[in-house]
Amino acid sequence: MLFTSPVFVLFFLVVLLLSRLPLNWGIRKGMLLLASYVFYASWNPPFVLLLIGSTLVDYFVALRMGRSENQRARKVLLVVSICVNLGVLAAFKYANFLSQSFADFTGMVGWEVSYTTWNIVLPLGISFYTFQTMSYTIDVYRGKLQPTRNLADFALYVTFFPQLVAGPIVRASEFLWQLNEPRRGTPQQVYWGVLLFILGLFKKAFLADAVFAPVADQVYASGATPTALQAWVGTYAFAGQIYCDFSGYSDMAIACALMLGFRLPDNFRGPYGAIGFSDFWRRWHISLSSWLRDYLYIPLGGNRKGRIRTRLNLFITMLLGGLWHGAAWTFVAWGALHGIYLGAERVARRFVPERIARSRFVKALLILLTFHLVCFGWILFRAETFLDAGSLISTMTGLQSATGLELFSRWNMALVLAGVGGLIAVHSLWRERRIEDLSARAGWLVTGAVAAVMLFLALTAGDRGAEFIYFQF
Amino acid sequence: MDRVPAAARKRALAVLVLTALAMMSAWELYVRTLDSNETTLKAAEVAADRMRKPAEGNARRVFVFGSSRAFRGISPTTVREQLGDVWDVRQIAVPMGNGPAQLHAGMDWFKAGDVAVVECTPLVAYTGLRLDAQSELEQRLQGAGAGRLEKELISVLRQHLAFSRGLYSPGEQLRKLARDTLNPGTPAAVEELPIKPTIIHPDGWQEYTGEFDPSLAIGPLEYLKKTAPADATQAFNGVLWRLRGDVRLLESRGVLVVFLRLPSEGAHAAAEEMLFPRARYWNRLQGEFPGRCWHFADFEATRDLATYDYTHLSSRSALAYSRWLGARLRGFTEEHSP
Repeated sequence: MLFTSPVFVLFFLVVLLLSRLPLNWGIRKGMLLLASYVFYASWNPPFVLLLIGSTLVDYFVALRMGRSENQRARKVLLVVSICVNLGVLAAFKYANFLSQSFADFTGMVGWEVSYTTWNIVLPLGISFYTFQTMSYTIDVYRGKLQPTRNLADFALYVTFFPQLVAGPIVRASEFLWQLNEPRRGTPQQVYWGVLLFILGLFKKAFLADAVFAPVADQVYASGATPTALQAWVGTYAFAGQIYCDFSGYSDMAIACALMLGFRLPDNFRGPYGAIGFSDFWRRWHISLSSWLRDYLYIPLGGNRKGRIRTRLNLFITMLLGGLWHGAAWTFVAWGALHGIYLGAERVARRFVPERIARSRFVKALLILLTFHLVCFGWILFRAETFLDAGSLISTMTGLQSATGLELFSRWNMALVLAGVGGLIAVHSLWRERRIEDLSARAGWLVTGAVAAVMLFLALTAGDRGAEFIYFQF
Repeated sequence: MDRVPAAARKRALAVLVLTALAMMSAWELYVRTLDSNETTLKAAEVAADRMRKPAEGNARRVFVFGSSRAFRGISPTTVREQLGDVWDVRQIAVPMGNGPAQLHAGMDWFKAGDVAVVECTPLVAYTGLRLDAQSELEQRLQGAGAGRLEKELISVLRQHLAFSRGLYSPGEQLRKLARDTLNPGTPAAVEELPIKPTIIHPDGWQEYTGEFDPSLAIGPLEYLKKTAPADATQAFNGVLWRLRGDVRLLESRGVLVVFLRLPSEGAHAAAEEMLFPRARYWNRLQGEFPGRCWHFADFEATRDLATYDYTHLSSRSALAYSRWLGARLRGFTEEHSP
């Protein structure tokens, strides 16, 4: 049940209606929990059991941890929780990758190990809800959060359908308190929810699926070698596609929650207007980057142990962040590349005077530089193998003779360039502004008309039924 | 969350609803005036439905993938006559379709006992090129796997609202308008060339009923020369690499796969041989899948079949080819029965 499908719209309208019935808050929360399980089961019903299992483990571990004064026992409980969560993740997501990598590695040193490829179906959203429940037990262990005694509340926190399958990764401290009092979307929240949902739908159905995906797929998934120019445009197209796909999903998730009366954290803040990589990661998939910062980078020592250690910590954090995205070495390399970017940026900052970076021209150049380096990373992220990535980079840089195909028309090329140029311009010009500010400045007439055009373009873009890219993670 | 006065909220929502309704109604009326039967997207939709339809009873399915060479040159009914009643032969090919890529996109829809017949038109099959109808077909086959309720709902919507069929988008219409204004009468791709007279049979065979017409060959030949790369070896390596995995997986599931090269003649055949020499392309495919690659030039029955435009079989030749294919498939499936 995709957010863009008519069935989801029906499903959500029913849930919204039920949430507004004059019923006891406990009953309404129960209905939301049930709706969330139904939503998840619409993909693969047996995996609901895994979700329930994960919920129960972390609920009881945290409860026990909260009752114990013994630091050693608390640590053991934390280790149990982390092992169970990461164990499930490893089994479902990384088993084949790990066994194949092990066999490849031993093969390289002359020891042939045979391995079996298991036919494992990846439970939808497992990386998201696993990180969510882990953050809960870690926060309880650290004493930052009191464990909840209400199992239904905790289950709803883990399962809440708007953010269940592709985030944002919500911390318990951001959500559980919202369950304490009865909630219904206020007229303000419903209004903003409708506008945000339309914006997300426009990003996903029109920009990502209809404008960017056909071009990016031609370059990355057709097996054909494009011309140098088309390879560049295909890479820009993927940059546009992944942003519009994922941020579109996040917008719709936040919008649905808002209409039900809940606040979810922002996940994107104009990332293609970022100046440098630390800025980029403050704007891209914010809920994951802040998770990695709080639960990995800082425990590793953060920036408290000298320059070299800081860079190493950054590198390890980004490497694992890359691995979180997918069980393939290309994702690891993508993470490593961003680790190197962050380290290099810290070095560069020591040599570039602050006043130079303040000039508008330099800022614009830095935005473009950051965007292109991010695009370079997207090649690794999107290519199926290093060979594919290498071949595309060779084509783009002219190292490979220009015998490529014209894979898409000039019209598509122009559309992609306009789309990506528009994204960079909007993100750069409105770096610190929110959609609410823009709407308030534009007034009701422009807001309503722009939303109508977005809705029209999204609904007439054609039904491609494409899943959200981040569902695979 | 900023506070917006209730009056401004109501006005904005009213503008939103009224403007969207007006635009959707205008678009719906416009779409209804367009002839949906001749769009390449329609071909992809029909092909995807054929692929997704489950087998009835104990029927074994044969899927014919490929380009217009397949849907003009292969009559599913004739193939079935040769194979026997237990078989259900389905035409999946679309204009300028890419057989190997269709096979890949349809992986989830096979079941044990099925047979995949993959027609390979060099320009698309060896280079990985995918045009509109092909991309559309792949999207439809690899889509989100909508559930039953979703399919029912979408079906009702599509019945009553023309725009929801997704055959036209404002962007695509704008593109066509711009193209027609700048270059009147020029097709953007060979798949848009008008070819008549044709009978479209319910089984998907598009029978050309006219005489040999060399003028029909000009467009496809120009397109071939314009589009083909000087050297497609690297792209072909990628195609082979993916086919290797796909065929291995399908065979492990009890699905048989064969590859076809349908006849081409004259200047088009010469250009194809120059751009995609058999020794460098087809023979490598044959080396990968021995006994499963049937090139028209290797068989007496198919070597001299006539085309109507150097690339597509004429009506009579198509029937002869289909009879030959059906008989050969019968022998092949008996030999490799699961």
